[in-house]
Amino acid sequence: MVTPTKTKVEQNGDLVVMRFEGDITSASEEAVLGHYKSLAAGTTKILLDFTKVPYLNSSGIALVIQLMMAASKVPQKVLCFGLTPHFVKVFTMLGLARYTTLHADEAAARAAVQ
Amino acid sequence: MKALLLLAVLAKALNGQAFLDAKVARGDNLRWADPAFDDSRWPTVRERQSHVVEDSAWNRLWLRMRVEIPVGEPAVVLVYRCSCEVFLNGVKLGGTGNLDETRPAAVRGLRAFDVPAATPGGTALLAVREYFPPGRDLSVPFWATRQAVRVEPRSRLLAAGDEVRADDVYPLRILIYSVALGGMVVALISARRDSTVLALMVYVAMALANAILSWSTSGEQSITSIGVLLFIAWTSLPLHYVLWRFAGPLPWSIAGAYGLAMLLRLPLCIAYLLAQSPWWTPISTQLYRLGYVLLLALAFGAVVRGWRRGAPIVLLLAGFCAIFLGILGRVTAGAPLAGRGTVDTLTSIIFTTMATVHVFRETRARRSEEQRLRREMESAQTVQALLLSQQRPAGVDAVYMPASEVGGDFYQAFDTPSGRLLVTGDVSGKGLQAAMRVSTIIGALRNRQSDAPSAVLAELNRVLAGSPGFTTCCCALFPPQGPARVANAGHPPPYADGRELEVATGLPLGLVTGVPYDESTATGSRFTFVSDGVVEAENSHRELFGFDRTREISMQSAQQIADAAKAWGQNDDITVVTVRSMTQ
Repeated sequence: MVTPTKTKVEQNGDLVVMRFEGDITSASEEAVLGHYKSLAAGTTKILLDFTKVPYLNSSGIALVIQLMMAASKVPQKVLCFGLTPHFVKVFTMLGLARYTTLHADEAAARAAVQ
Repeated sequence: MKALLLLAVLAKALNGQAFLDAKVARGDNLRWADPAFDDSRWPTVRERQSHVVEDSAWNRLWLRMRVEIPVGEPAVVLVYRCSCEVFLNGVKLGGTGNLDETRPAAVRGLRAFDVPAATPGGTALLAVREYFPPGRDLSVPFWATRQAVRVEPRSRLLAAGDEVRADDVYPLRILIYSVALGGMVVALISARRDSTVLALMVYVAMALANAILSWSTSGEQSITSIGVLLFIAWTSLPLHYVLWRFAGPLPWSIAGAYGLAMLLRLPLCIAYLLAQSPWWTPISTQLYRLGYVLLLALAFGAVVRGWRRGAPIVLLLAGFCAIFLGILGRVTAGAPLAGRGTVDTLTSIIFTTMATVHVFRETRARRSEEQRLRREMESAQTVQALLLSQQRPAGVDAVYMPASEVGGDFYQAFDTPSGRLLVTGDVSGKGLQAAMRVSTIIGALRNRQSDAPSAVLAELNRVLAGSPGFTTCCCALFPPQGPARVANAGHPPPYADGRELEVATGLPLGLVTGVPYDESTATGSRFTFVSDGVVEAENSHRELFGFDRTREISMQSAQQIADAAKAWGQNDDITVVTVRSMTQ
């Protein structure tokens, strides 16, 4: 049973935290890319919060990768936190270190972004 | 046929002269049935002449009128009222409804009372004793009042011996609504799981329930029954919904106004019932009329929008007519709880019939389209199966379990001069688009320039550049001598003799052009490759099968591994390939 994705965006100056909730699948385009495209100009750092994301399928991961690639062209720095160990491994396996860094929690991500 | 005839009779009865110089008086006195009683001081009501009864509560009324009794042939008195007793020349012919002041009836029906054979032809005095609600206008157009009181020769209506009762039209309504409802249920179950059909179904179900209710209670339903009140207030909701569905996405302002107008009906209805008074009743009635006028305007807007969007115009007009006539009847009737009239019923039946035909045609078209798509999918499935089921080299075992008709996983194994080459991967997404990319990949693999895993992935990455999504892929070359060479593009790492291999991984294919892929070497006698459908199989507790469980069973056969993942909870394509090393 796939739960729809909700996204909460918290903007604080040039730092944005995108908090996802629910599964990220092919149906999450608006929740992931839609919200990313509506970020204010001048955003340079993006924290992706996966704390409340139990599952990402390959299509959902494709959306996250598209976000990261778009951010790398701006350029914007993207950091991820809250991923389950399984998806930490999947993100690593996918070679996403080129576009992002993975952190255990928000504090670690905020510390790394400074 | 008989029911159709009766329906026509009912319409005719309502369409005729409502009153023939009827005298009206409030109060109650059985002497008023006497033909000799002098009613010259009573006010007269005629058709299209306003005569509003202004009283503070439901009250008893008497109507007296002179009617012509046909000479030498049987006649009937037709009365369409909720609660009344009928007297002819002082003799009580019968009654209908409920004259109990605390439980006046709201649902009306046509009743026929036989004129006694002994009644002489010529002019007779017809008196009707009834309850009548305050604020109701006695003289309004035929479609609203339902106040028909008239005498007709029986022969002009039906064959001798037939019973003239409004109840007789209900079997026809029930039959039509039942057939329509059955058809829509079948459509909903078999092909069309959409909200428009569901709303149509609810509408027809409510119309059916209304007809059954009216039939079973013979028009004596008490208006104090909140259930009936709610029922009448909300009957047309699904009809409005269907109309707006055809109109397409609505601006919030219009949707809000429409919803508000619909919602206002209920409290106004309740307020009308609970607080009847000389000052409140006319206000609540006018508010109720205003709400209906607003609804009508918005319904017209829905028809125009739907027409511009290419919605079926016949259905739009039928729906609008049903709403228009229903509203017209209620607005002109004055009271919000008037029963459903003949024209209302006719339009409802017409709309139901048209909606059923529409759903049937749409369902048939959709099923035809689904069959065409299914054939295409089957063709794609066949092509994919042919591509994947090529003869595998000895020592290679593979199981492929697609999650849908056409999956996005693939594997290919070749014995080449360089050794045994295995390529396995997963295209993001499913369906025909994924199948097309798999076909592209397999075509590219069969025309590869090199057997080196890193070169194979680089070539596939070039071929897939610009395609939507991405493709994870793992390529391994098992040379006759020496360790295996493995390159990975984001695919789950392979297992060798029960341990997870640490191989260099690169970006999935199709994302970034020109990226290099590194090779790792690995030793082992038996290698297992799985797609993410294995590690991400999910059970009912939303627990993933995971990498550890996969590693633990990685020495089992491909079939056993795939079965274990499927039993855990398949939610993606599952592919397992096992390869025995050639150096063994």
